[in-house]
Amino acid sequence: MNQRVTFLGVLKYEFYMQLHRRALWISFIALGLFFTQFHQPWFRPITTSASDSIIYWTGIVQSFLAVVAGLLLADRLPRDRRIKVDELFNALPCTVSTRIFGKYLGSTIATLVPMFAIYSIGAAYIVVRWNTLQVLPLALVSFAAIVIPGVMFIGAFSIACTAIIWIPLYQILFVGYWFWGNLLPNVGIPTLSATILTPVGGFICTGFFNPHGKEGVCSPGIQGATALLGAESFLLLLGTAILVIVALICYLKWQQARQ
Amino acid sequence: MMNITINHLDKTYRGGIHAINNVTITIGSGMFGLLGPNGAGKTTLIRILTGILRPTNGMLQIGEYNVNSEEGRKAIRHILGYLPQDFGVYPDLSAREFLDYIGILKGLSDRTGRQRRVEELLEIVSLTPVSNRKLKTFSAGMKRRIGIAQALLNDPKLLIVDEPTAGLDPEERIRFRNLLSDLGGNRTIILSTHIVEDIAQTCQKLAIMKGGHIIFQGTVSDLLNKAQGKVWIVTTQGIKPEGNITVMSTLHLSGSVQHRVVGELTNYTGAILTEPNLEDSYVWQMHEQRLPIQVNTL
Repeated sequence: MNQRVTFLGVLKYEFYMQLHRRALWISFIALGLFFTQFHQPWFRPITTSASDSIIYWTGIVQSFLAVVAGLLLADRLPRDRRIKVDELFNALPCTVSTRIFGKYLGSTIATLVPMFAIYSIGAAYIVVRWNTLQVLPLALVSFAAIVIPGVMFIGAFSIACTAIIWIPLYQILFVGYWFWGNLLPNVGIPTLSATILTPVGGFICTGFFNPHGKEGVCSPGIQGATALLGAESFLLLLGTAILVIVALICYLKWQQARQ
Repeated sequence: MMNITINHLDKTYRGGIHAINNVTITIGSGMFGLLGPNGAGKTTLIRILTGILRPTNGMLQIGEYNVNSEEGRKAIRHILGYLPQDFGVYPDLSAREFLDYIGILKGLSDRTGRQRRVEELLEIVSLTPVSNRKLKTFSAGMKRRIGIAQALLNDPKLLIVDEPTAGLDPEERIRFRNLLSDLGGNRTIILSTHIVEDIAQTCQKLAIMKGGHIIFQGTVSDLLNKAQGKVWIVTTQGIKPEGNITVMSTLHLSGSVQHRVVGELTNYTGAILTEPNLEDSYVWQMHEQRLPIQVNTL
């Protein structure tokens, strides 16, 4: 059995199914429109830096839309049980690891598509307003550096946690934890907000794009974050995501062996 | 030829539920029926055969593969076609897309070959005209046909179908049975059902399960012979016959009522002995076990 072909096939179909969910697009567009009313760089004076506006816009997209990604990825694994395809899948030659990795990557990449679409609209507006195409490569790089690892990190936890937690409970806890952690980082429960594992991308943003700590660029920024710390954060987010999926696979295999 | 040998198989779930008790059975090639009421242990046995569940005790050999080992279970999945009792589909995929996806999961790596196979199977199950429709628009019967199509994608040597006609209308049921009958040949096909008529129309050999045990194993003729002399037509004025019997059917005629009964009938004048059918024989077999009988009529 060619595991590579199987993995790519799973990735393709999971991508297709997630991308064609109406809820995905409606949620992102509705919440994107809502949040960007309150947090946007459009009305900054034209004399300010377009690059700063692009980086700020990237941070806003990640801060507010990544939570939507987490919510919409939470049902991908329990869905197989709900619609009763899991028994058939357990009798097929495809390994659990191939199927789960394909599901994780396919669903998460598909979830990034509407995020990127909304991001692109904002970036296009900045390009037009500041009348400069020079920020386009920065827009692409900042999206890849700040948004992608954060969403991959969140996606892994969303898919894995709902293997053991009821979906609505996970979604409530996740939203609560996300906003509590980012808005009130030093109050009450410990959070990842000021740590190198912050999925909002504070270390990456400051380290790569705002090393001098200028106000109004990274939202949120981390004072003193260097490019090295930014790189560490980037790799740790992706590495942790992979570990979480590996742990999920081990759990599913253990569960199957117990039956 | 694919022979299946099961020796002293047990399955006990957590909580001490004995789903299968000391099952010993041999299944050769061709159509084999696994009959029994709900809760008999058929689906548990099926799930062990497919490698989804592990037995608590016992030995299971499918062809050259020992299904007690992880390697054996992995190997079986490559030659297996399985239609589960609770068969679900991804509602937003079309029939063609779903079959293509399952084909990928079954290891059919060659895209052209896989697509050709998908088209062949859509034709066999008469779903080519609707192959681009989303599966959420399919009726129960159409989904079952997709189910059998996906089971056949890898041209399996062992095909297992669990309650394939439950919930289908008579026409769909007949279509499904005919489809299964056409699939025999060098394959081993196990049809697990609680509907006696499905077995009667398709299988020469069968086993009956009850309470986790095998209470009969043999040919359809053997089962029919067991009920010889036990099936009667009794005509009354309306009162149901009593005694150590099961009333199979009641037909209201003008002025009288005709009952078909299975059992030991005494003291009924005018009772006519009649040839048993498979349903009668099944009921008689259950009757002999002195356990509550469930008669499944079409």
